Amino acid sequence: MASEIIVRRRKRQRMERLWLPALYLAPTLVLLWAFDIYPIFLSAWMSLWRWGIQPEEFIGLDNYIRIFEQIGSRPGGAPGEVGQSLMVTGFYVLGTVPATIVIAFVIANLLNSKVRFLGALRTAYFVPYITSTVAAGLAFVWLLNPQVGVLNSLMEWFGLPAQQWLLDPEPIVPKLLGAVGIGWPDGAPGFLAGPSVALVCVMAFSVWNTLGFAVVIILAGLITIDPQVKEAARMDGVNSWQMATRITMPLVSPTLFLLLVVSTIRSFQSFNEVYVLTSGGGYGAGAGSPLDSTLTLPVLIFRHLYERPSSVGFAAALSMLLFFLLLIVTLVQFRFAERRVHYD
Amino acid sequence: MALHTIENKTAETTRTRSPVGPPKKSARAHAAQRWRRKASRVVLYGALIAGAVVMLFPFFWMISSSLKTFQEVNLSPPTMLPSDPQWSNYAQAWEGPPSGFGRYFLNSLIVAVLGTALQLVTGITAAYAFARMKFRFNNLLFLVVLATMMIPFEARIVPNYVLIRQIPLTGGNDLLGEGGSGLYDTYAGMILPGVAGAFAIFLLRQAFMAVPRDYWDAIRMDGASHWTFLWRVLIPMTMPAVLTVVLFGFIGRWNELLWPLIATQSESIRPVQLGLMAFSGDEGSLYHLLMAATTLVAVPGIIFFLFVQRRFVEGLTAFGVKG
Repeated sequence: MASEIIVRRRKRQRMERLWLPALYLAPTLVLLWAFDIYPIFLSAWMSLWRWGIQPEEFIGLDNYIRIFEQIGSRPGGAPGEVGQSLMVTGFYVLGTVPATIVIAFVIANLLNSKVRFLGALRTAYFVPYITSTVAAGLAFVWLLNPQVGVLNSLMEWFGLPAQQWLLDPEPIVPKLLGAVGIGWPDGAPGFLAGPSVALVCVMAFSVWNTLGFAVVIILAGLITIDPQVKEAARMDGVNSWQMATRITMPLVSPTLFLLLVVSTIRSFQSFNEVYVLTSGGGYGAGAGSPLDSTLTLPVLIFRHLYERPSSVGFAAALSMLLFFLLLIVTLVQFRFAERRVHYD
Repeated sequence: MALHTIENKTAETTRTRSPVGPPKKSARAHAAQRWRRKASRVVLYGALIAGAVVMLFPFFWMISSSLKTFQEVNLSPPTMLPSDPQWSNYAQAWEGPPSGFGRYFLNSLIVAVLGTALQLVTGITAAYAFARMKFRFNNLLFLVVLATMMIPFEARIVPNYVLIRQIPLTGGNDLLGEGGSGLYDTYAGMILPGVAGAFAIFLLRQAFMAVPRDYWDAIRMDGASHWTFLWRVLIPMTMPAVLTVVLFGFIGRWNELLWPLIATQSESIRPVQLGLMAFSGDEGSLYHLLMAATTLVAVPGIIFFLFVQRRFVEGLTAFGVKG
């Protein structure tokens, strides 16, 4: 009897060690494998094919060769479609990520100084983040309407010229220099001229949209700082600028780093913002317009996947490019952060 | 608390240290200091409120425009508030798309509720296995799960588009996944790829691990199984984490745009975000109606958020602190 019980218990234990975890994990692992991990391999495989709805022809590295060809110049001197999208993505990431983190850092610090109505103010900053990009984006399209948008009325009120905003493909730097009477040399490289006015509008929307997330994350880091540290510094005569840069910043650097990594990844993947702002609201010009000046890499992938026949293989090759770009950038960030981030 | 005691202490020490100082000057200095503090408070609140106004103005303008007539919405310079609120705009916008907005809302609800429920159940069981069970490769598997967070969405979207067409025995497919359209243009195709969520598993695992082992030992004595322990003891004890996963999941699903756009083609199953995009393409120049439709789509989410925001911010905070 006793031995039988022991055997049964052993059997039960063995089952628990092996089958039970497998059972609990199975749905997640199957789904993760099917839709997250396997797709990377499938994507690599697809990128070697000309692929429509079905695989059509094995073409080896031709898709990648095409990518490189489209980085270089088009006959007119402008970069090819892929080159253009890389430049736009670069502008987009460099323009939105640092701006979001810096502004959020300032706001979080202000909110952390024992303000009243903290909850209400935090909510005000957070609401854009939880609103769908489509709804919030269409509200922006309306604000930026060139004919009757409220922003142009505001410009007029300040005595400034009305702008085309989302319809303006001209780069911003020559435009700003021109406004103060400085000419732009003809032969200057295109990337120095900066993002187009339309792209700047999309970037401003993106900062507005994600600011609340960054504020809440930084605020969470700030709250964990021991107030005595700050008080001690204040008694040593540290001014507020030094306080922010020398005391607060190092202490929340792990949080800031996390935010940097997350925001960079998200920024590289920006599709929704561009799609809504450049093809919503009755302009009908299509995502990436005007003149491809808001064509981020994800929008280019979408274009090949959705609008062009037999381009699915090329879209897969482009998404491999995006994947490796992100991997490299993230690795560089971690490498850099090893020296700069202070962990306790 | 700590700050207050320190402030009191410094006040006391300065008082006791200089009992014979010229009282008039010190009073003036105090007044100047108080004034400076007050001024900095005013600047602080001014900056914060100005920021909040910038953040909220687009919403105000959206709602204000949604209540104007076609003539008034096209006035330049614009009026701040509608002179005669046109509530009928909402009814008109609701009926705007060929099948009405009702169908789109229903589709979004189906996708968001089912997607969130599936994510919760699979996430809970997986997190439980990672947090509470001893088996080989536990840590390694968990690292693999976490690593999937790094795979960009766009890198998955192309292969997933191909994959859902090839699921065997669905949509006219044979056993090898060929011949039909698989799960393309179905609710299942929209829902399945987003169900397994590394972030949800991570959050739940952390919460489960924080519950002391004694509870398990106690209930084990009564002969209860893992399953009973998980649903009867652990879940009620970790409700904040569970709710955070539900909220994130639901809002994420409700706001999805790119995947439903790629995975479907029939308007009859498309979610509300796509309905709004389609509406903006058809009626984009009628801004009073477009803003009414936009308000209809945006406001339920905002109201939902206002009710649950404390939990939501707590969840984000946990994410921020623990990384």
